Parts: sequence; C-alpha cells; structure tokens
Amino acid sequence: MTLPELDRILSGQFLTDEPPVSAAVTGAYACDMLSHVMAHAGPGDVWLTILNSINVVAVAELTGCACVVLTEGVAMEPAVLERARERQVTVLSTPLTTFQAAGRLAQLLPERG
Amino acid sequence: MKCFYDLHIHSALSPCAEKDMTPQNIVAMARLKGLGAIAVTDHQSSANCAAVMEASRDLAGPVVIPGLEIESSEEIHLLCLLPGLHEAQQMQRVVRAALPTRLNRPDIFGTQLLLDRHDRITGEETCLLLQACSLDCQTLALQVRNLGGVLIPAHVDRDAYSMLQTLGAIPADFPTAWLEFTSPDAARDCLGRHPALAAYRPLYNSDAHRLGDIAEARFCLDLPDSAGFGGAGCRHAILQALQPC
Ligand SMILES: [Zn+2]
Ligand SMILES: [Zn+2]
Repeated sequence: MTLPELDRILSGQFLTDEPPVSAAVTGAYACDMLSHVMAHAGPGDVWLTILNSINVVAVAELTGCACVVLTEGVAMEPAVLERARERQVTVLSTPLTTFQAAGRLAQLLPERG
Repeated sequence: MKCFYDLHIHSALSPCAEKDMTPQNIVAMARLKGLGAIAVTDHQSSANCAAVMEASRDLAGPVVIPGLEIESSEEIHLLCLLPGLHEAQQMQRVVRAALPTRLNRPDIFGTQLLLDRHDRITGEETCLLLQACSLDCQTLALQVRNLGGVLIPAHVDRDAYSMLQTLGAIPADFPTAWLEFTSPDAARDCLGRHPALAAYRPLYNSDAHRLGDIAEARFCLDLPDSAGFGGAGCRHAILQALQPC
C-alpha cells in the first residue's frame, strides 16, 4: 500500500501536502497514549489517533511513522499543522472512528506480531 | 495580604520552552510584572529550581516555589508544588525512577538546559522529559502529600493532558481543593459543561514557555498577614492555602 492511496481508503483528506507516490505504508498502530506510541509505533506505520497536540507531531517524527491519521473528524490547529509541514510529517483526517479505520486497514495490511 | 502569583512557569529545561527562559530572565520578568510569587515547574524535573530561587534572592525578586509539572501514567499533567528544595529534589527522584530511559532528541523536542543562577549553562538533561512516568495520579498524590506539597490537576480546561479530558471527570477521591485553569473565561466555559467543578477553587497560571507569557499581576491568593513578604514564610503560607481541605 502506498501513502497517496490512504485518503481514498479511509475516506479522508490530507491536511498536509500530498505525500510522494513512493511513500510506503507497511503497518498500522492505533493508540491515544503517547507513551505507548513512542514504544510501539515504527517507520512505515499509519498511526490512528484522536490526539492533535503539538507533541503528536514530535512523536510521529520520533517514531518515523508514515502518517498520522486523525480519526472521528478531529481537526488540527493551523500552528500544529504548520509544524507538521515543517517536519515533513504527513497528517490525514477522516470522519471514520478509529475502529472503522483500523478495520479497513486490517484488510489491506499484514498483521504484525 | 494579597499575593499576585504565577505558579506554572517553564524554564529552558523544558524542551518545549524557549532558551531565554533562564533563571535571571524569569525572575526579572516576574518582578517587572509585579508578581509576589512564582513557581518553576518544568516537565518531570525540578533541576533548575535552585538556580531560579538563588537568582531571585540576588535580584530581590518574587518568592519562588520549587516544583515540577508531572506527567502521570494516564498522561495527565499535574502541577506539583513543594515547600522547599529538598522536597522538590526528593519528588524529582521519585519521578525520575519512574521515567522510561528514553533519551531526548533535541532535534525533535528541543534542548533541555541545566542553568545556574548567573544563567550559565551547566549541562543538558539527556533523558527525555516530555514523556509520561509510570506512576498514576493517586500514587503521585500520596507521595507529594508525604513531602508536604500539593498536586493540582493542570490546565483542566484544555484538550491535551487534562485530567478532565482524559478521565472525563475529576475523581471525587483525588485529593485536591484546587484546579488549574487557563483563564477565568475558560473556567466559566468548563463549569458550564461540568457543574460538579463548582466544588473546586480555581487557580489561574500562565504555563509560560516564553518570557512574554509570564502572567500579569492579575490573580492573587489571600494569605494571612503573618506570612510576610518574601522567603520561607510566604512559601509556607502559599502551600498551606493550596492544601486539599
Ligand atoms: Zn502541561
Ligand atoms: Zn506546563
């Protein structure tokens, strides 16, 4: 799966620039506790969350995850989005719940131990 | 005796704070604003408190209460204020022992500067302070109480790291008489949605990460006249006023 397909798959839209076609999605991680995300999310992951603070951008960068997916239509403040663009963190917003979004991704991605 | 306060200020030790949040700058700005008491509350650390207290003595600045802003295992921010440096250091040891050993990435989170009373950089904290410790709110409250300090849910009106947002309510058994709000407007708003909060007293702090954000002399605590101005007496009186009833 590549990153540019993600908006279609999750019926959402990118809040940051359209990602490069070559960007791959290899897994997904759903969690709203930053400590867990820091410990368990990794490069290539799509991170599903309802969190939208500035630290979300930092944790996304730290873990190297491919994309932050804000579920339930959660928005991101302009200043935080600006920061995400600066740090080249891709952010997508979807009206789906985390459960629904994870369900769609689960059909397309291999389960990881 | 009225004491204008700002009891939630970050120094340059907090990676998200500006580098010019140095002891002398913080003290000078607080004095300029006419504050009687401030607290230095960096994320998960009290390491710069001594320097700010010393700088304030040097510059005849406000009373400085040592503290830290603790992030609990529930990822809730708690304003921890302690009666003295010794207690602050002890609380920091408790938090540090419960902090994952993840290193800071200054390129992502920012630098964590250790400073002395003359604003000289004495080192850098290498452990990431912008992460939760493994102790929950109740456990932390007990530890802080044993040290004679207070633990107050921070910026409960905000979306991020707020006890109200994360737990959906302030648990009745959480030992506090006070809640920290961003502003009286935010508190009113919050109270409209959560009428039960009327049982608590509001504390308004700046949560300044930049010098310019340190509070104006707008909010005050009523302290007994015997507290006097400056020094340990005033610190004690403030801590006393903030105790859970
Ligand atoms: Zn905070
Ligand atoms: Zn703070």
